[in-house]
Amino acid sequence: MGTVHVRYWQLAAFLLAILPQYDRLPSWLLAGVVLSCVWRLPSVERRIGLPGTIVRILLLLAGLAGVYTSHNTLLGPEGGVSFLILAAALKLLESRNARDIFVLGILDFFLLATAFLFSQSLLLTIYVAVALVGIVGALLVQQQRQGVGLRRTVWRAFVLVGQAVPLMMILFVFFPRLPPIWTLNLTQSTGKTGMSDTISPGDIARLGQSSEPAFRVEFEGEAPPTRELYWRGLVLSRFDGKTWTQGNEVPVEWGGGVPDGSIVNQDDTLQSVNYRITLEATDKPWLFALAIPRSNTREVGITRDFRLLKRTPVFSRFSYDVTSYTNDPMDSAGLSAWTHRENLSLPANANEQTKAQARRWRALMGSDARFVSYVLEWFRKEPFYYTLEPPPLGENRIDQFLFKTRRGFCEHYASSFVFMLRAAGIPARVVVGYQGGEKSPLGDYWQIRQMDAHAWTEVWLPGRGWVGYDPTAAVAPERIERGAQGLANDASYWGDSGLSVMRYGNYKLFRQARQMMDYVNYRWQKSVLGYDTEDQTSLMRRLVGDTSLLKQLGIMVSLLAVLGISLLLWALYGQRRREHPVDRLYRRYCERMARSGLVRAAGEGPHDFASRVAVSQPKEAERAMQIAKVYGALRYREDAPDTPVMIRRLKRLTRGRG
Amino acid sequence: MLSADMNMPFATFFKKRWQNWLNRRIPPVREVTLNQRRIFIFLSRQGGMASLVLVALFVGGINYANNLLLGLCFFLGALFVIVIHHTYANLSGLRITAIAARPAFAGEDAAFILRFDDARGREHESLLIEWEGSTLPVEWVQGATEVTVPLPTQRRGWYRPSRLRLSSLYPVGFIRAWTWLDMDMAAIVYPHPEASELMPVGAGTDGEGETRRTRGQDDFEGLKGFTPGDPLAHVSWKHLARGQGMLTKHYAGEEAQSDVLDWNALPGLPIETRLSRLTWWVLTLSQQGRTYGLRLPGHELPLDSGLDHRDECLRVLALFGRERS
Repeated sequence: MGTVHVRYWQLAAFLLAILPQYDRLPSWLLAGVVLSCVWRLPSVERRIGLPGTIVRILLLLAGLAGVYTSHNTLLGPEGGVSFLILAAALKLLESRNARDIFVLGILDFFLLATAFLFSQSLLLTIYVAVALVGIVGALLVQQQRQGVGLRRTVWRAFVLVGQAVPLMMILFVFFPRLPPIWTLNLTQSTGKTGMSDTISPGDIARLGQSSEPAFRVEFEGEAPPTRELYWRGLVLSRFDGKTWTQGNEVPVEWGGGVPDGSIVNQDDTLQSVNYRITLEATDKPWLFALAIPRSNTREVGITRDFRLLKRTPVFSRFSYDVTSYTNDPMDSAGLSAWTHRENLSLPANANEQTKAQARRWRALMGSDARFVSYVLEWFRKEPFYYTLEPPPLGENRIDQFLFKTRRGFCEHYASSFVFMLRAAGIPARVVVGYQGGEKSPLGDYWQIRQMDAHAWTEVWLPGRGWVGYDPTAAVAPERIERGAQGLANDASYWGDSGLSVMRYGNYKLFRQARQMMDYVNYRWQKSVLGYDTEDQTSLMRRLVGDTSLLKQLGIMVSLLAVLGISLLLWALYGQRRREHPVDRLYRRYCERMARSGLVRAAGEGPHDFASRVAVSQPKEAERAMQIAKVYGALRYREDAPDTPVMIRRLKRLTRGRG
Repeated sequence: MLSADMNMPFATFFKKRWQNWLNRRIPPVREVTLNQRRIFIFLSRQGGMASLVLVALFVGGINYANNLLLGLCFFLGALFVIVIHHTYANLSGLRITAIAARPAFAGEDAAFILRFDDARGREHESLLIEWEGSTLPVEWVQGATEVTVPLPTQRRGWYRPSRLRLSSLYPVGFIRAWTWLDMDMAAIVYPHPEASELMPVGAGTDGEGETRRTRGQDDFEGLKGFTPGDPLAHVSWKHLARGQGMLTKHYAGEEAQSDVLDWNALPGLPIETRLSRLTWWVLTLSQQGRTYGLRLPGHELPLDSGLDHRDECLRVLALFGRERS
């Protein structure tokens, strides 16, 4: 113990354990980890020795201050992991005896596990499995004799891990999932790609170039056509001339109910579509759904403006079931005074040209509905272009866009459309979410990506309630018909910059591979990460047609017992060392003699046995003596002469049937 | 002290029960093959630490509703189960044979030699022998491996060590498998040699045995049993006539010449000191290649030389008054 060999394993296991965390760690801590590993390299340690107690205490205090400064806390996942890594690095600097080394090994295991707090991807899981072999190897070298080669050690660690995996799977499938013991939240990790609750110029364009998945949808039965897939996420009704934000706080109905503005409860002939959405972590509470949604999933509520909301932010992937009543009118009975007011307000003294034009046209058209159609027609006919790289806009951006640049994407069209309607006295609002999606050719699901992010509008018309209009569809109907992902196959979508040609090429090249990856990820998410009590019950129903917890535990225990007993048998009787070829020949010979009635007694020497054979079977005497002699020479003499020749001779002798 | 005294009966009671149980389960034998009857298995201290991590992972997995954390927790649990089998297999089938117990002088280490092998030819890794306060790792048992365990001795006589604990933490240290073995071995412990100036020969000789005295009546020292070779002139006919057997007269001068180390030449000293001095003299004379004898109450070793003679003398000194029944 304490050999160079053990040290290298120890350092390797430590690095394997913290590698997944490296980009989350403050850089000073990363440097500290590397430094302490280098310090423990035998060649370095021999020269400068280990730090004394005082130095270690100073390092600890400095490290604690550093962790606190970097994370503002020592608790929570991120601060906690940094703290643990700091502790492990310091432990590394003082580990002297076998127990210290073991403690570090088991700490490595824990550190490795914490990576799953931040990511649960398949790739990370594969990495963890490999790293586990390394950590088990580091524990193993402490216990096994020195001088076991690297390959042998890795193989032994691999066998241990490999044997544990089937047991782990049984536990994973059958061990009852308990509700949380106490509730806790991961700290808001920033930098997630996705919607924010405001839309400023350029927000959606940024998303538009990201092919990261936003959510997946599994429809029960036929999916509606792509052009009808408007996944509502946020309703924005406040505009300050540049940025759209959410309006007043709206009441939320929890527990599968419907808000007042819906007529679901009065009319059961409404069309409905059922689906399940699996949302990637957004760190935000809002959920996406088709209008008008209703969900019985725990923790999910519906707002007064017909959006789904989760009680707590979505810090890890979250699945929820939705029933959408696609032709249920929203607020058809009328708007409250304050909602009406809110959805008409515009910033004063800006974009006066647009306001004037809107009022003029409204006066000409006679009705709200006709005015709306006219504006859409205008978008269609005038030279408006859809592009993700629009020219920059300054003050009076709506005026500039509508009458000058005329190049933009959904955000510009939705924003100016709502502006014009409000100016004409029609309540309207911007809705943000995703549009369309891509049906997976492999799995029975739809993939919605960040590039499907979209902004459109809802207009309140008397008697009909809020009606969705998408001015972008008027300008670039293919964007809506085919979806952004379909559009992405056209070179023009990517803009004119030099990089875009490359991007377009890459896009096509990796599309196929990406779809495969998506499918694998989807299965991973659905069958492993999302495996829950419901899945357990349905599995139990399929297996035994019963969902009792007792039976579930019974199946688990009996499967474990079967595996355990086979392991026990292996431990007791298996693992037989390879028999020496000479012994095998002699054993076979004895077995043959036994069949002819002469059983060699336990512990009877070959020569004694041969004499017995000679007495009872004189015909065999010569051969028996020869065999005993050759066997004895091969097995009991150190300097067996001419071994291969002798073995061949023994083979001939034992095989021959006299 | 009082409480210790009061507890003593309880402690000894349980110790005795434990020993009796062990004696029934693993009786003292000179050759033992480990099997499920003889192997005990339990969580080690390190295993305790690992199970804390297991609990932490479980709580984390449940609270964050994180299936992968739970998965790792299950993995650790599964590893425990696997390791039980590996650790057990590492002791199971191991054959331990008592080879020899080498003698020692009191206060020094007696060597106990054990042989480890496996009838089925399996290898065994990293065993630990704990015996009478000494620990000795056995790195690898492959084929027949002889291990010499030095055990400290304190007093002369037969030294029969208590049971030895043979344990293994292989492969990852979570689980300890062990057994308590009584190999039915005893080593003879010679008295601690103690140097002295005067060679304890005869009664009151003064030189280093160099003094040669002429044989005379005055130097008559005592009688002893006739051994072939004694001069007939020294036979005490008086005793023979009284029917007391054939005794020969011995004279001091004779002792000085032939160096019979004598218990009685060390009058007034405690028994152990006498034995220690005699031991030293046996070693010294043997080293000088001289011929010597040894006389203890109830024992008489005739003049002789050589290693066998020395060992015989040492043995008599070791067991003086301590004969094993």
